Amino acid sequence: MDSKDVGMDIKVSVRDLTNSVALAEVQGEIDVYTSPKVKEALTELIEKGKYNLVIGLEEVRYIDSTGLGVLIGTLKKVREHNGTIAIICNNPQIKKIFNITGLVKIFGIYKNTDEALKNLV
Amino acid sequence: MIDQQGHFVLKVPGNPKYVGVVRLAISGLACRLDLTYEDVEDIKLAVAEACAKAITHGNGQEISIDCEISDDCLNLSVSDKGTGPQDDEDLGIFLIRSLMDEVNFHLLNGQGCRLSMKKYFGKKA
Repeated sequence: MDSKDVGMDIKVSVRDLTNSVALAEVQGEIDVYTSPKVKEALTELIEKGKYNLVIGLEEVRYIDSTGLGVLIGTLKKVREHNGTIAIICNNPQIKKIFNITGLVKIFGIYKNTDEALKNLV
Repeated sequence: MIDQQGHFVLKVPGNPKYVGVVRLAISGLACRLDLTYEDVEDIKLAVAEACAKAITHGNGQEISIDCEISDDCLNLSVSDKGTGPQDDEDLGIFLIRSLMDEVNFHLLNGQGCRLSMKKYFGKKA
């Protein structure tokens, strides 16, 4: 696993789940200060040819609109390569944000890695 | 539990690093008021969105967060020193409007903008 401490209160760990699917697990708070670091980690994955991504937000305590913007931007990039994104999230407040912004309709939101993987391919 | 009226102002540098500090301070206050856990989380996100917007609009100049506890609500105003209106409807503003009970924008006579928002006690948005 490639683990990178990318900021004050954010960490992104990356590993392959299958030949075509990579997992990026984010830990911490994704806000206006830390989201550029998350963007950098996800962009790096795309540059390595990983276009099907599972993004784990299980250890994320908080996400704001800049964090959502990073996820939307990443989805746009992977779609250019016929890829897609599945999100793992169990935090009710974060799920609420996905719901009220309507993003729940464009991202698949799943309970765990197995469920995300099953729906991704 | 804080059960009386009060007023204080936070002033922080116009740097995204400080948004987390404001979030922590405001959630510390909101936890001690007649608000649900969900209300506190809503307020944290709304004030952080307002701060991020103020920092951008104010071109990195100091921002201030005015916190007023009245009988029936927590009233938060985030002011910057930018020029022109800052009420363009982006995702951040959409979230603030969705999460708070009342939201208003004020132009401060050429000295910046203020975004005011209220969360009423004892009820959900």
